[in-house]
Amino acid sequence: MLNIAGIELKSRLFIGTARYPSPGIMQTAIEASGAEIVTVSLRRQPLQPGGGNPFWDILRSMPVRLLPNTAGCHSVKEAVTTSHMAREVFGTTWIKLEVIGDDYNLQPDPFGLVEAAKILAEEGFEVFPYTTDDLVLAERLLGAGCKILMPWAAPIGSGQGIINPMALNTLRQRFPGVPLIVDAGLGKPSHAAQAMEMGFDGVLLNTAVALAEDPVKMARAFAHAVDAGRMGYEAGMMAARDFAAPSTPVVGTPFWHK
Amino acid sequence: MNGKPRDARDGITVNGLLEEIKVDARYVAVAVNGAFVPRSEYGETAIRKGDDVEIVSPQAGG
Repeated sequence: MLNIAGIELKSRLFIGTARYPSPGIMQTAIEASGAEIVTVSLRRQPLQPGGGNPFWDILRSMPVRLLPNTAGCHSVKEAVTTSHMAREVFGTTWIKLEVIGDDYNLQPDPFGLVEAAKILAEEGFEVFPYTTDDLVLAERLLGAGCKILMPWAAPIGSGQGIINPMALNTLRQRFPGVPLIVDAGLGKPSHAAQAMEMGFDGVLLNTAVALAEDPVKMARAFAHAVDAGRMGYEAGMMAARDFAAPSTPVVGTPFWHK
Repeated sequence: MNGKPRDARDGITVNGLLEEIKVDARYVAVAVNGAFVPRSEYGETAIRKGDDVEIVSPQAGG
């Protein structure tokens, strides 16, 4: 059981709502993933008069908790204003805080991220910062009032998996009591399993599921991978070594002579 | 409005603008000149010529 911001969660898989082939497939994939927290965004209102919002109608019918993001924000002001708008529309103080510093790899702007996190935390938001795997930045974010961190595995949507396991391991070791969710860059179920085996509290995915040939099956695959990885971590894995050790008992080996 | 020029009566309230474009205020959030306008202030917030108005609604996100 994972406790995030006072909420008990059975699933350690967080999932995004973007880029699915259809709203129906999105809904079925989210259900198949077992995720209890899904990310959403705010975008300019399409100006079809009288038009509803089918996406929003589907999400509101689902038993999930929403985590709005500030995707696309490049400044502290934009991120803070978007957070205020999200709080009103989605009725939650949870915010996945993104302050983008570079458009090519969507790398967070560490300075803006800390500044925005401090403002929002002081205003009572539960800030889930999308951050890099940098240790000092993580410390600053905790100092700014974040109680959860979401370090990237790799740039958003790249599907690269964990590109710097050493840095992520360092975060895990240095912040044993802080919920750490690996967010962004996971492409395969094995990447999610690896993050969970490393002791991370959960993973957040979107593109890897949404752009799979069969998003529903992939959602299920990731759910199994997250469970397997977590179970492996809890079970305590053997230490790797540089030499062989026979698994079959040596005593009583037939044809053996000394 | 939302990055594009739009004709509107000078001094129209946020409520008035939302009615004009037939948008249900429950499903959107509004910012004027980059500052969030809470729903409770739509009736008294006037939009002036040249103001930047953002109207956003829930969409897919990662």
